[in-house]
Amino acid sequence: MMEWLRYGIFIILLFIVISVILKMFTTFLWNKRLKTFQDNHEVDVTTPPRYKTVLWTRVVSLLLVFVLTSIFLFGQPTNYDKPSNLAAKTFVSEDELLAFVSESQYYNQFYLRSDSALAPTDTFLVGENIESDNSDQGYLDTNVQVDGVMEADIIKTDGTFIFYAPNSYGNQTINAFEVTENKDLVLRDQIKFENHFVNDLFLTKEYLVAILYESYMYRPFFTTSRKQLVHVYDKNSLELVYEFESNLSFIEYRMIEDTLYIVGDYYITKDNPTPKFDIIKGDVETSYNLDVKKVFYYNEMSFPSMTVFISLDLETFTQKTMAFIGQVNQVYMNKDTIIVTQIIVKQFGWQLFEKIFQEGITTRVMKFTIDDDSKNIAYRSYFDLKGLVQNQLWIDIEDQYLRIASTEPYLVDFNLTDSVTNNLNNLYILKDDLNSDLMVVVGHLNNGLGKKNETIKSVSFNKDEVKIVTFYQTDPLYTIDLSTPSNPRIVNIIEEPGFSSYLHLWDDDGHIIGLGFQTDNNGRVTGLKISAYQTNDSEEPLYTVELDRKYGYSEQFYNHRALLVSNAKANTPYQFIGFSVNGTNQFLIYMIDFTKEQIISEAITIDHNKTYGNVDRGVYIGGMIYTFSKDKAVTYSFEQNEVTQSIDLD
Amino acid sequence: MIKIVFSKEDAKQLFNHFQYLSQLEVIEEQGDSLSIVFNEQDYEILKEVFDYIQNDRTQLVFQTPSGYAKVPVYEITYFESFGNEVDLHTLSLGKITIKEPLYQLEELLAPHHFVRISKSYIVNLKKVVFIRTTLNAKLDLELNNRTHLQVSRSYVRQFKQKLDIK
Repeated sequence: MMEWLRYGIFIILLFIVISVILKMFTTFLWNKRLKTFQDNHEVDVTTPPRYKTVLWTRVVSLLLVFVLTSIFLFGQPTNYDKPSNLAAKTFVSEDELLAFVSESQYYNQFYLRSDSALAPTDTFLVGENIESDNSDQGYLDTNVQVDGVMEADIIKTDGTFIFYAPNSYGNQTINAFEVTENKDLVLRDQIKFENHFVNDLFLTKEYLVAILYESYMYRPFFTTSRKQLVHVYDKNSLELVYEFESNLSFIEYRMIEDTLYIVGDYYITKDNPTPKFDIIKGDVETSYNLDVKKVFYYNEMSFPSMTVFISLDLETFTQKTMAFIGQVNQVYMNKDTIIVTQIIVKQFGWQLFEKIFQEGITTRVMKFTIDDDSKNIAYRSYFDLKGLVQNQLWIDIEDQYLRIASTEPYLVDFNLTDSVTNNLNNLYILKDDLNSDLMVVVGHLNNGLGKKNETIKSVSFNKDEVKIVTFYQTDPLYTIDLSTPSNPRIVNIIEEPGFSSYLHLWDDDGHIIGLGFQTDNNGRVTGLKISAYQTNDSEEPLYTVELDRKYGYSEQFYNHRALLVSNAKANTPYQFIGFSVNGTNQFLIYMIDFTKEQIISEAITIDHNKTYGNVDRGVYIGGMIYTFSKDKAVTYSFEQNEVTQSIDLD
Repeated sequence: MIKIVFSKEDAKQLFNHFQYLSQLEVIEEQGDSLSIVFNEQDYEILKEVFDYIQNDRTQLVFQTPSGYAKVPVYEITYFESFGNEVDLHTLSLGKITIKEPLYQLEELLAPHHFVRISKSYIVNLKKVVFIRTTLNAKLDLELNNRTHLQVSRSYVRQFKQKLDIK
């Protein structure tokens, strides 16, 4: 039953119950008054006993109807409630958890080790990077998948301040810039860390949120174990106001309004079956372990690690946590749902590959819901689909439907003379089942999605449509109509050499921009390209620009968050894409105009001449592009069409 | 000193209502009657006894299309008007059509615990056995002969005041 209908019926019922109770109460008062009158005037009229019987019968009947209806309304599972038949269960004790993961096929001395064997011998730097946030009228920074769901990145701006953590190996600095009224960039402060390294940043109305980590090497296994931290700073004063520390490895994070959501990975040890969280706020330090009763597991998926969800409310500085046994590889999130995927591996070593050849790869998709008020994260459902989900952009939710694309890796079986494989790609449309936590398939597209040996390279969902690029030697770009979820159908195909690794929707007229790779006739990559498409009825690209940098690579072509993009919906005077090409020390801007014959302009090059390495990011504020590399910041003005400022960073 | 002779049935009812009477001396008991003497200090209570008897035994005379009808107050359950005609409903005498308009009856019957409950009805409060509230803020009165009458919203306050008068 739909949620609004359920609450509607309940409110109506509640209204009726309250009305009847009030009516009965006033009836009681009137008769009490009547009785007093009768007593005062010696009226020999006794209230017949039937009235009391009727009254009590009514009270009992009413309560019975109310209770039964409430059970009917809220006892039944819906998309947002727990179904009655759950495949996922929770542990009741740490002993049960340890016993369960010990049964894992992966169990050996390496896993489920004792912490005493893992004392850190020395620390060393391990670099990591990437990710990002949102846009507003006057400024643009991180390119996000879902409106209102911020994604982390190494640069953030609110139109006045710019915070930038260089994308270098083991970076320990956050640069805090301010853009003055005359649009000059001023380095106002730096946050430097001694023991922590910067992963990513978020920016809220009040706070700068830094995602940090510590890393250790353990002997004799030469594995790394992390301590990850969240530091929250007042973005004006840069005063540290809150610290959250855990022994998790963070995998993904999102920010919705003032709540930070973290997805982390934790290796279960005998000494510490559950992760620990330490919190410092002002002078108060607290710490706690994840409650084992909040850890879900599936019987058939024993694994010595767990995936942990944390919601961290930055208004109240309170946390909510839950977990499940397993390791995720992709995370999609909108405002009320988290979707994660994990590969189901039932064999180990060479047996794994034999299994893949025989049966293909299976991915488990799991759905969790977020309570808007409490920020609680709750498990809802799962589904096992064929193939791999290789990017968060391959997952989408529209209304009650989960749409998800998967592809099976193209494997060459040397025992076969002809290794051509068809139907490697799948598009699933799933929805929750009312009675169980197993999602049901509403629609499934397999035939015709990709030619021989072609696997999915990029996916872009938009309301009732999805664009999917498959590739082996050429690039078919499929437009698939999803308006009837039970019958997804291909409505347009564009073919060209090469393939797009990222598709960005440009407007509501079917125009998209694809960033990808040019290839030769054998499918070998020869360089980068940008293509403009009309996906409604055109069978070939409208315009393509090949970059004159053979074998070049751009982070932005695979990491959507790093791309600076202002499309027709961005509400800025300029429409463009901006990215850097590794090793060139340049940030490139391409103006986009679908009304012109030359849809994609010549590149505007912002050069960081002295920089060794790459230009990490660019942000847009009020007609200016501010670009950043490890030791330089260069500003470009659209109005003046030139670089207006260049400052060196320490 | 006054000596009053009561029928035994009346005396029983009066003793129930005026407990003080049972403390007085019964000087003579004969057949269905008994005599009680009231001294000067009992005159006040005697007045109340008379009022009570008067109210209970009062008979009212109404003009009917064919003449006049004399009806004991305790017989009347309610009055119902239809245009210029008014029906007087009784417990055991049936329905009597009378000529007095309701507004005159309202004044005439006020001392006998009658109350106007709508434009068309006057009810004898002593005949009401149960009151129900309705969802539209009216009152449903059940009389001792199972008749149901409604107190309209604009007369609820007046009805309540009448009930609260001792």
